[in-house]
Amino acid sequence: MMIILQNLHFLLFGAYPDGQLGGLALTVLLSLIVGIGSLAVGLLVATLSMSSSLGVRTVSQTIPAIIRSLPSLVFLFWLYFLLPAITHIDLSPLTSSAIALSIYQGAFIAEDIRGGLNSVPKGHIEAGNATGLSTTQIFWHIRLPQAVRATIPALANRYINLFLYTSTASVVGVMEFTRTSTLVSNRVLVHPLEVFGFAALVYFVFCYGIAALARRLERRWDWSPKVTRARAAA
Amino acid sequence: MNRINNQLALTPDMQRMNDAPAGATVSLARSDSPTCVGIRGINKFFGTTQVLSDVSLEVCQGEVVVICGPSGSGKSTLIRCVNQLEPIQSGEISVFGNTIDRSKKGLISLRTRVGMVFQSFNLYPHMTALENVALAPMKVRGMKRAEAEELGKALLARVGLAHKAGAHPAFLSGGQQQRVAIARALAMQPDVMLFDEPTSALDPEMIQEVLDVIVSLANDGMTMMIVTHEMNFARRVADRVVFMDAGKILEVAAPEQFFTAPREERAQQFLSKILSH
Repeated sequence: MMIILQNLHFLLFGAYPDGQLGGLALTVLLSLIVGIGSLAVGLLVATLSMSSSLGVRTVSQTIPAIIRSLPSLVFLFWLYFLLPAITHIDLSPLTSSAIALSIYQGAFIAEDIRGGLNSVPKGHIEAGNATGLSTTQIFWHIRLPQAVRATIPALANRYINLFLYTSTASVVGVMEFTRTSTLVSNRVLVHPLEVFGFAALVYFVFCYGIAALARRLERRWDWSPKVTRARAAA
Repeated sequence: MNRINNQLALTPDMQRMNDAPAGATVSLARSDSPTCVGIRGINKFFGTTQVLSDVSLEVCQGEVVVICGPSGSGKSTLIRCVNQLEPIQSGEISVFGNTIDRSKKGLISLRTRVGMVFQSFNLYPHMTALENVALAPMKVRGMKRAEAEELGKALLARVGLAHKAGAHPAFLSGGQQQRVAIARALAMQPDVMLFDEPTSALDPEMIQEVLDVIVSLANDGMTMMIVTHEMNFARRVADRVVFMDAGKILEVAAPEQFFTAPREERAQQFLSKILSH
């Protein structure tokens, strides 16, 4: 217990303010960045995969399929060494992890979004068409609001996975929470149970929070008759 | 159409839109052609199965055509071809003398003149009844929200649901949902209304309220093509009855003649089965 408290600052914030931000704060920051980045990538890929051009469709479905078949660690390493080689820019470990993880998770999120969009009843799309709405208008006003409900569980799953897998960034030198916990444990040597127990607890709290938030949002944006009526009665 | 407008008590702005010449942003111009919908020799396949064989039909302005027949005869497919929810492989469909053009603009301009009511209502569950009705006028005709909502409220009153304007579809019965769907189709002030088995998914108690709305639309002179199994209703409202089977039109007759003495044997069989309950 004492070990945790003695090292708390390092565990939570890394070397900050004497050095770079690290620890839990960095994990949370990285997760936020990757969360937004992967959502953007996912939306882009999902939109491209519904394009009318066969070429665009094929490419936007094949590349993510390949990415999804790789372990995130391998993809991360590969990009970490590949990106500087092709762009001749030196990226910090943090930046390249953010990019790699965004692309990696984005490939999965694209599938979730596609699934969500396809789950909207075809009849509603037809009704939109029959009243003269354009495809874009149907997408924004009819498809998207209903697709959100179907996408949230898969998305929450992804974000939990994303949060946990920020720990892989430690292998390229990012000083995030798993890494700082490992360093503390290595320094103290005799209390691995406490240190990693604490780390596990922290991860659990965050992931449970994501899941709870997802459940709340699912209920809020569910437009099926039963749930809509239950929501009004509550 | 003018009678509907008077009943809706349009604001001067809306009236101006109605009187705008063709080519203005709101195109409500009416052709002088007596034929509203011309269907000529259309053939349609789903894959290798032929669902419509050389079907031809002309619907005149103000006419109510009821299409009936056994399941799978192609009735719903036929009217879905009229507003191009289904493409045709050969033949010609024209609305107001203009052959249908499948470009984006052409389709949208077609669909603003042809309204459709579906068997399963297809109301947008995340919007209130009023928002359902007002969506298309706002987005397609560019109406301001206040005007569109005025129009929506008037139309909901027309179908007897003014008090349900703020309700989501989840709080409406099937009959009420279908009436909102009719109001939604009317919001674009179409010249032709298509009904695809509008009461087939309703509890028996709610069928009458929907049929009454449709009858009142017919009395106001709306051109309509209705696919239905409700034979008494068909008798009341139809100017002509079209009987289809296996993708072909077998018989076209005035309702009195069709229901008392159909010429085709298949039609006789069909009626005897249907009218017995």
